[in-house]
Parts: sequence; C-alpha cells; structure tokens
Amino acid sequence: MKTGNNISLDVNGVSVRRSGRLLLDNVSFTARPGEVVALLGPNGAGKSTLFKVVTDEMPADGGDVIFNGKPVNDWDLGERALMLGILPQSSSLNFPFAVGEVVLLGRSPCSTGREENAAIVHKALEKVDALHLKERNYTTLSGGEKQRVHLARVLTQIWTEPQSSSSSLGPRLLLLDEPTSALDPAHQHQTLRIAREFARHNVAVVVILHDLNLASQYSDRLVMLCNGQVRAEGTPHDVLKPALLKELLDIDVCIIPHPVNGYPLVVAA
Amino acid sequence: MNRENRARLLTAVLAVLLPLIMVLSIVTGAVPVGLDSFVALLKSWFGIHVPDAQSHAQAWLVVEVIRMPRTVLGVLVGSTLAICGGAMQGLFRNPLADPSIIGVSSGAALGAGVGIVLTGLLPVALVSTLQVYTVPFLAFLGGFGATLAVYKIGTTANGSSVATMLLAGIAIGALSGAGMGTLNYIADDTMLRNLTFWQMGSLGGATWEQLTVIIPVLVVIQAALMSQAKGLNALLLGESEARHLGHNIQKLKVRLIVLTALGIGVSVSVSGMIGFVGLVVPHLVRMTIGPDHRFLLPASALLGASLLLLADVIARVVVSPAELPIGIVTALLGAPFFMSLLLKQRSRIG
Repeated sequence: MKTGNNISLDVNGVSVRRSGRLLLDNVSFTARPGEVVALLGPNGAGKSTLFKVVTDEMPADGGDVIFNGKPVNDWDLGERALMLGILPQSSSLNFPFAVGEVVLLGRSPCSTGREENAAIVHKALEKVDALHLKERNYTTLSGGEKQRVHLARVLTQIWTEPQSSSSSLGPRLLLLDEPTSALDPAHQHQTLRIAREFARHNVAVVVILHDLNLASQYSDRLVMLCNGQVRAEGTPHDVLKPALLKELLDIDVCIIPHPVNGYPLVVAA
Repeated sequence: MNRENRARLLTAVLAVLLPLIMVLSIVTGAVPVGLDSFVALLKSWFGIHVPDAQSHAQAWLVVEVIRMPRTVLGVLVGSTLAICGGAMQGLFRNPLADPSIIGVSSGAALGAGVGIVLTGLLPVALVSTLQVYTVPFLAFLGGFGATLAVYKIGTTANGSSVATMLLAGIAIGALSGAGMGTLNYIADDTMLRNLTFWQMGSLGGATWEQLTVIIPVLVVIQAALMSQAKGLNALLLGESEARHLGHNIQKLKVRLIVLTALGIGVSVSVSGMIGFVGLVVPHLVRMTIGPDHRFLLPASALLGASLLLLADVIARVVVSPAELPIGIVTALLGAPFFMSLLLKQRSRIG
C-alpha cells in the first residue's frame, strides 16, 4: 500500500469553517520524503489553522489529510508518534525540568533502551547548540533557548526510522510551526540546516515561515497561503515574483539572485 | 549526582524515615507507652516469649486498639493526599493546584456531610453499616463534581490560569460552605459533632474494621495514579504535545480526575478535611528532585505519610490530654507555605 518514497503527507481539499467564516478553502498540498516545503502567508492567512488540521488537533469540515496512506486521525496515537514530529510555536511548560529531561521526553514513544536514548538526547542537544544547557532548569531559559530545546525534543522523537515489527509504518514527517520566531540569525540558519539534513535522511519537512529569504534558501517548494486559499505553489523561483508578493503580502520588492548560490533573494524596493 | 540518583537516594531516605516516625506516633500520646513495651509487643507478635507480659498489658491494649490503627490511617491518608496533590498539579499543569485550595476537599466534605445527615435520618440499626459505604461514596461524588467543575472553568488548551483556577476554587468552596452550613442547621447534636469532625479533620476515629475497607481501595488508587506517571510527564508539556507523543489525552484526563477524586473522597470520608498536605509535600519533593512524576509520586507518598503523622503527633501533644483537630495543624503549617509560593508567583498571576 505504501512503499517507496512516494508517500508521506497529502492534504486534499481541506476546508474549515468556524462561526460562518471560511478559514481554509479547499487547501491542497503534499510533502514527500526528502523535501522541505515552506508554508508562507500573511498573518491570518490560515497557516496555523492548517497546521492544526494537519496535526489532528482540529477537525476539517471538508477534505482530508492523508498521512502515510491513512487519514491522519485514523492512526494509532503511539504508532503515529514514531513517525510524526511536531514543533508548536510555543510551549506552556512551566515545571522545573532539567533541559536534558525535557528532551528525553521526546523519546518516550520509542522503545529504545536508556543508553541509546541518552546518546540521542546528547546528539540532538549538540545539533541545536544547546548541549551546554543540558543540566539547566528549563524554566530559567530565554525564549530562543526554549525554542531550541523543544526542537531538540521533537528531533529525538523521530531521530531514527521507526522500527516496528508490523512494518506498517511509513517515512517520517517533521512539522515546524515558525521554528525561528525567537531565534537570533545564526540559530535561524542552523534550524533550517537541520531541517534540510533531516530531509536528506528521507524525512518530509513542512515548515511555517515568515522570512522569505530563509524559505527561498532552504526549501524545495513554497506554498503561499492567503485568505485560507493556496494562492501559489512551486519552487522559490516560481513563487517569489514581485507582482505576486505585492498582491499577497502587500510589499514592494525586488528579486535578485543570490551572488553565490543563485537562489532568489527578496529585498525591499 | 544526577537527578535520577538523587531521586533514588531521597526515596530511600524517606523509606527509612517513615517507619521511625510510625514508631514515634505509636509511643506518643496521652497514655504513656514506653519504647520497651512496644518492642515487647513486636516480640510477642513474632512468637518470642515476653517474661513480663503482664506489666505491658495496658500499653499493648492502647497500641493495638488505638495507636496502631491511627498510625496506619495517617500513613494511608497522608500518602494519598500527597499523591493526589502531585497528580492534580500535573493535570492542571499548575504547581499551586491542591485539593483543599481548589475546593475538591470541601466538595468531598459536603458529600460526606450529606451522607452523614441522610443516613442519620434512618433507623439506628442501619446507620453504622450504611455509613461505611454511603459516606465515602458521596464524598467521592462531591470531590468528583468539584474537580470537574474547577477543571472545566479553570483550564484551557494552554493550561490552567492560576487566577481562574483559584477563583473557581473559591466559588466551589463557598457553595460547599453554604451546603455545610445548611447541614449544620438541620443536624441534631450527634450529627453536628460528626460534621464538625469532618470539617476540621482528625485521625482519631481509626478502627481496624474501617481500615480493612479502605486499605485495598487506597492502595489500588495510589498504584493506579503512579502508573500514570509517564502520561503526567508528557502532559506538563501541554495537551497537544502530549498527544503528539502518543498519549490519549482525553482518557488520561478522565482517569486522573476520577482517581484523584476517589482518593480525596475516600480520605476525606475517613479523616475529614485535612488541608495543604497535597500542596506542600509534592512541592518540597519537586524542589529536591525535579518534576518527573515517576519519582515525584512515590517520594511524595512517603513524605506525605511522614509529615501527616508528625502533624498528628503535634496535634496530640500540644494540648494533651485533649487533642487539636489535625486540620488546624496542617493549615497552620501549610498556609504560610502557600502564601510564600503565592508571593513567588505573584508576577505570573497578574
């Protein structure tokens, strides 16, 4: 049913209506293992609503979300947790866990042993540049540090291919909701480099971003959402056009090629 | 030393401390019982011949009929209140949640009060047998209703707001207070004495018959709550995060609400309203070993049992040969502690 790389996330014609307002209108997009898909759009475009529907926190009024061949809400929660890592915008954790303990919680769905888990926590903290915080009290961290710690937690959750005896599971999917909102520039790039690295290891990555240049530099495809509709979809070259950005985001821009890598750079006109 | 090892050490220390405090509780009180009498009693239990058994007779009677059941009840109630407090703080994702502060205990007390007055209206022969079952059940219903109400009012998807939760607790406490007042008004003298006892708390009524009913119940509740430790840990991250980690949040929440309401309902029905144990104990433990419920709940159970026994010893000693209601002692110790926590959290309550 689901073999090869050709399966992960299929969002098919999702609509959400709340108190008479159409928050999402027939939204479709896909994310395949190996690619990074960026969701862009102005505030109130429906990005967070879409995120909630995809993560099974909000039911859709129309359409469906197929994750590895099954509707996302039909999966056994424990099985799904082995394949689906989700980083929310912010966390309400206010108990004095040590940072290492927070990250270790990410391993709780997995059946690996203590030592392997400890090694994964160590590597994940290293990856997000937070190893020095490992023994610190989580509640004393800054906003950006907390965001990196939660990224590490979500990474540990889907660190390895799910090992299931039934082998009914599929490739992993990483969903990041504005993972860079509290980060300094160095860590913003680091976070997206991590997303790319996971994509290289057969993970599908969907990331909500506001920074067009980060999206351009690190994603394979952009999905531009506006007023609950997908208004543009394609490679950064296809989507990042002055006229479209003027229309959807109401900004006057010039698009120039990056002097080294050639990807389109968006600069204010 | 890492936190897991520190947690094991603390648990071991508390496990050694508890039996010592139990002995202290057994030998202290209005009737003097020497440590030698207690040791002799232990010997006789193990079939070792005690030559001067006659001289210990009175002390043994006091120990076997009064002090032992009282001490065992203290251990059970103290550990249950502490575990329920810890679990409730996890459920509300709020370190200030405590059964006595958010109205759960008063809801349970109202249930118990209704039970006492209702069964009191029945023929005398039926009263005692019925009370054994009806009162704990109604106390559970009262505690369950209160927990559910506070949870529904005070908790959103982003956790519970301290302010809303405390205000909901005040409202429920006031309602229960009104109910209790009405019961006091219609109660006769015997019922009134019973009701007062429930409102202030006491371990004094302990009997072995009662213990045989509640020991299995409370042990099962405690074990069931401890088995939710992983879910509670995940829940501290937030409800959606816990779901994403593979937990069925709806089931987990229902389980936690039912179990804590049962634990508190049964505790209140046998010992009355004893406040602040569920707040102070998990807090002290968390300060030492962190919030991981796999260690927090067992350590809280041990510390809760020890502290409640100590409070009971104080209650028996300070005005001996009379005794203070234990709820007064725990409130005198717990209320300042709660105030200091409020001061620390003040900026966040806003």
